[in-house]
Amino acid sequence: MIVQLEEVSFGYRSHLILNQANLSLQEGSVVGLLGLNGIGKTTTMRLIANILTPTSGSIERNFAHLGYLPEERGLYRKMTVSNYLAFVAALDGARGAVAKTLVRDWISRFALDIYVNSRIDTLSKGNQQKVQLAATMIGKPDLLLWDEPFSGLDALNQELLMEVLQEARQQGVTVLLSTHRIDDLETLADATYILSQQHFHTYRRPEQPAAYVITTRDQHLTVSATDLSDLMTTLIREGQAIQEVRPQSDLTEVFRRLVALDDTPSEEVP
Amino acid sequence: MDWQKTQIVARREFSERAAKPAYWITTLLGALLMVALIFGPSVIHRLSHPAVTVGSVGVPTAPLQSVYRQIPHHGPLKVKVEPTFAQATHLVKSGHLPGFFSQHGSHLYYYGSPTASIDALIGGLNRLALLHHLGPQILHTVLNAETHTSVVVVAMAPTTAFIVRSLSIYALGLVLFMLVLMYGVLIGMSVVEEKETRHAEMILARITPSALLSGKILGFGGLAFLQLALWALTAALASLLHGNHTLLHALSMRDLGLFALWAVIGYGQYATIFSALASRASRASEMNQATMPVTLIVMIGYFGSILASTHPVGILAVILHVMAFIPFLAPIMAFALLQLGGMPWWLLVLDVLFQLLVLSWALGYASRLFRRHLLNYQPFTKRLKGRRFGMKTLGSKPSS
Repeated sequence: MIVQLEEVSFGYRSHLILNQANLSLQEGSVVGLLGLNGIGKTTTMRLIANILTPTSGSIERNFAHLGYLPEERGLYRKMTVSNYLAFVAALDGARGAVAKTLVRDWISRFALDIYVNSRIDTLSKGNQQKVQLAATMIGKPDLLLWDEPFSGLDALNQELLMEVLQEARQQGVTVLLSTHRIDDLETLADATYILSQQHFHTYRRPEQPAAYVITTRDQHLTVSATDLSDLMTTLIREGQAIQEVRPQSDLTEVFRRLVALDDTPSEEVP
Repeated sequence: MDWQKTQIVARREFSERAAKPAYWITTLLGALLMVALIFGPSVIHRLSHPAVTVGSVGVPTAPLQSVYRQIPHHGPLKVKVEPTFAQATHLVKSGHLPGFFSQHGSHLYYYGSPTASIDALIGGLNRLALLHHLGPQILHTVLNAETHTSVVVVAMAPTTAFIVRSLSIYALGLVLFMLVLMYGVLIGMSVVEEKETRHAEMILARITPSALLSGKILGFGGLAFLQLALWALTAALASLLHGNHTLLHALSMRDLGLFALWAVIGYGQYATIFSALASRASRASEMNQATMPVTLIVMIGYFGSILASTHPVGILAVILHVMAFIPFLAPIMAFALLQLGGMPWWLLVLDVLFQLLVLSWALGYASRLFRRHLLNYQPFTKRLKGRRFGMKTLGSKPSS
């Protein structure tokens, strides 16, 4: 396990966030983290990143380099893109020519070439976010903690980020992804942790889906696995254009069921 | 603490700030101030005591100059040598010359309307009783002769040398005060920027709070002492060009060494405490409020340094000497007390060791405060009302 939380408890004053919670991240896996706003997703990431220390329990960390994209985005706005990434690369241990190559490569990968010498505060919000994402990748991390990485990105850049994520997965990088986009987790995540009632609940996609969702121009149809081919044949005969066929996941349902147990948080996590 | 990461942070703070025109404008203004301090007094003196011009027909210039130099608050005396009495008279009548000296026999005469300065010159010549029966050669001999006197002069007021030295120490104390206050505020703003831009969280995943804090202190320290060194260099060059005695000449190498020592300790103490307190503020607008207590301490130190030279004895003097040992006041006060001769060397060593001990404690305390507040984005004022974000667990050691 690259990260293992065992019986971890943590709270802000009287507000308990985690109560003897367990979580583990397998090397090379993409894991989702779901939960209501203020429930403790950011706190979980901060605990894994060793920014916070648990009140009790233990956290085992077996990664050398961490790429952390916090929910609270921040950059040194007066620095240029290349200087900022060089600074981050230096903190991650890269020096000289290696650092320069890394900076150049990641600027290019995130299509930021024309902004190399631009000051960060002159960039759009989306481009600033790409700089932050590049900063998480520049230290060749073996663990990525991404908190809402897609928010603020346009469709094209979301696609670009998906590509980067898939490349990271292929290279064996472990990813913990906190997002409200359940659909993305359905397709990306090997497993999803749902944080509810101060505990992590594991959800794994079934090997064989029991049902599928067919999307046409006019409707979404849910059909059992056994009836899938018949329904598709019927639709094609009727001349309806099938836009998408995907396995139906009950993640949304599970999430709804679990979070219904949560009271509205009394205090927002800063 | 990761020393390499501390260096990286320090380098960033230094290079980012040093690249800003504001830093070099401040440095230039400071350098100009140094030049003004060196040349200013003599320029002001010349302006308030303009050169006096007198003519001379057959009177040697040297004795006139020599007597005139002995007059207090004199400006320069220009002696215009005229070949004939008639030419000199013509210049006086046409208003080109206020008057001239001429020797007739063994007497010296002044032709013209004497101004206050020339009156003083004539008085000086009379006091020396050199006008009667003495020729120019004898006059010259007497002026250069060694004076024998049984009168012992007892100084009832501070000597000029004391005043100049006291002023010099005060001026350096002012530089010290400005240094700690200016860079304390700058480092505080840098910490607030870290919080305001929400960058703290991203960077704290890579570096410990104490390494980040130390990096900032070192980076800003580099800027502060580079600026100080440039000002000192400018002052030294200006002093060299000026030639005559300046404020800088009143200082010994010991004074300058002590200044450097207290500047380093003072910067360390104030930079540490400013950055720690600034971490409590969430926005730049809250920083003044958060750092107000320490700003007040600097101000007390500054007022103490003003009083130092005028209160050599009495209860106030005792208080000022005690202040020289109180952390954060000590760097300013211990240096200001040099106006009264400073403290014995063994007491100085004790004071320095104590202040270094306090600095090391302050670094540890500031790191804890820094860690505790850096991720707290709740407004400072809200926390003051008792709704403080209680991250008690943050100070404990990591579990793995």
